[in-house]
Amino acid sequence: MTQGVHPRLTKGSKVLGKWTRQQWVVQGALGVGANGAVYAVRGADHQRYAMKVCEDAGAVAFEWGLLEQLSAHGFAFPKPHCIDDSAAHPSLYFYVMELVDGQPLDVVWPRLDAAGVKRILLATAYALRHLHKSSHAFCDIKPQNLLVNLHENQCVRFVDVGGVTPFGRSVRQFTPTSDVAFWGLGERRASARYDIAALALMVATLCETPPKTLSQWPLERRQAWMLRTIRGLRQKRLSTLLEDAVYGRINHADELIHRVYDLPADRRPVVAKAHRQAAATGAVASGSTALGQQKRKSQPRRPGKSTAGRADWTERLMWYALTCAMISTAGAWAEYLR
Amino acid sequence: MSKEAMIRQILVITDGYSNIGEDPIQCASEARRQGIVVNVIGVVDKGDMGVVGRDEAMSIADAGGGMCRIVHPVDLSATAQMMTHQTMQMTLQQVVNQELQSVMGKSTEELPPADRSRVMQVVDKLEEEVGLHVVVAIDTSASMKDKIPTVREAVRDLALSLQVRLGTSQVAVIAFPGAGEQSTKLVQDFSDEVDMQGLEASLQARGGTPTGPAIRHAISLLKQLRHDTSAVEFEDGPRRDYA
Ligand SMILES: Nc1ncnc2c1ncn2[C@@H]1O[C@H](COP(=O)(O)OP(=O)(O)O)[C@@H](O)[C@H]1O
Ligand SMILES: [Mg+2]
Repeated sequence: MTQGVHPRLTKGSKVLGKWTRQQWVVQGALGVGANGAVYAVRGADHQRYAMKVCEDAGAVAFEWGLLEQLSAHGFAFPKPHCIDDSAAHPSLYFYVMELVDGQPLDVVWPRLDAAGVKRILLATAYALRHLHKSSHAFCDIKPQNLLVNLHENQCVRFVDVGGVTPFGRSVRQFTPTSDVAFWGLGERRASARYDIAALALMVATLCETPPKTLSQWPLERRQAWMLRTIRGLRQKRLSTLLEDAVYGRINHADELIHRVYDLPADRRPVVAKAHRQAAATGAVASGSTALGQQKRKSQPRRPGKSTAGRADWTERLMWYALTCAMISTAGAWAEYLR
Repeated sequence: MSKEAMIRQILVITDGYSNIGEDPIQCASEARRQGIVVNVIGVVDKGDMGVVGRDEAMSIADAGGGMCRIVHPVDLSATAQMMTHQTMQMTLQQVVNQELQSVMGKSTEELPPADRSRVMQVVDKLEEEVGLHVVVAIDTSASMKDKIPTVREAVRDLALSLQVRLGTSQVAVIAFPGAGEQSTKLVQDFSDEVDMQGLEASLQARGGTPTGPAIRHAISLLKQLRHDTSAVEFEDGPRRDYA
């Protein structure tokens, strides 16, 4: 089997089910992933659905089995509708599910204030709690797999059931930047803790885009980057929450829910302005770009070991300057951090 | 299927086409005859692998019954894991298909979708429990110089994924070309972890691209292992080759 070409269905294409004899009319593509393509379709009942199409009968059947199993545990994943094969197209296997109305989290993220972030984290934490009750982990937590609709009560829905794994088993579908093992911070084994850490890592990488060369870096350097990003957030409580999560100190969705409730819900972004600019220019946070972040701490900290070495005296000078600046602006910062 | 059942794979990571030694496509066919799947990842950073490299990579995978993907360095790690996972599933599906054929006279595709879904849950469970031996063959020709740190991390990362499986997993690493006149060299024998220091020391980019001999070397490693598996199975726990 070489590079797979997905069967491309276009608007207006009709798909007739070989087993159920139901007909579906394609209305457009919703997204293409690693395993197949998802289309918006209209059924004979005039309702709109989402259809996941794949060349691999096994993959479709497997995901379908998971969706069915999970539909008994909460409403995070799309409700399964039916599974079938196309009668006309060769090797076009599909299942039909509820069409989830929402935008991927990465699209919504730049417009979110602290209150919005809190709402989304809370909804995600509740959805994870439901899922974890069935002893399954989501695993592939990434912005594209979380569909957000702030007008709904349940404002976050999960798509892509393919990564869902029973607790204790090895994780087979994940996104490196959301994966604790990639950061050298834990095992790649399905658990509640794995998901909670993945959520935190995802939030951190939404706040600051990781450098392109990240996957070539040794673990210590990756960890230093992650820690700096997390500690650099404007909201102290969010920082400590994320840090506890990525270090595997939050083992249960209940605890996560508890911690998220404690977050402030103001109208300001969770990322400070200087920080966002650094992220936008793709600057790799090192001694100097970390400035904006370090300033926000109540206690000056020594930078991580990895940044020591040649830049040592410049850094020491900056720390000195910072400490001075901090004393004079401590009052202002204290106000800002509230 | 018993726990001792083993899946054997070769993963070739390269950025060009072979120019030394025997034909890699023939070597891949040989592997397939021995029940070994050959997967190929072509890594490109700027521009492309070229038509020749691309065609060769695809042909090796076709001959070896595996998959081929051409990716940028950032996607290497994820691709290596996806391929290992998917080709393991393919192998197991073939086994399950044969059983279905003999018991019911039907292939998985001929079953109604709901039954298929049950079969796939079995395949999924088998995949987690079956033994796995993978030889990663890394192209260390001169052109790979800048990509070697990424490859090293990808190999470590693959081992991390395999370590937590319920079944035993062992990874060996070879580099091509080898030292001096050697066309290949063993960087690390089968182990459940990757010795990063060892990789760092022995993955140096230089010379041409003997892809064929590398596949040949990988086959011999896997065959050798088959001879000692029975002996290994009486020891407790997986073999550890270094402290
Ligand atoms: N039920 C659904 N409703 C709406 N959009 C969906 C639905 N399922 C998938 N999508 C969209 O299609 C994209 C790809 O689907 P996904 O199942 O993640 O594919 P893959 O497993 O190949 O990554 C998703 O990121 C999402 O944007
Ligand atoms: Mg997806």
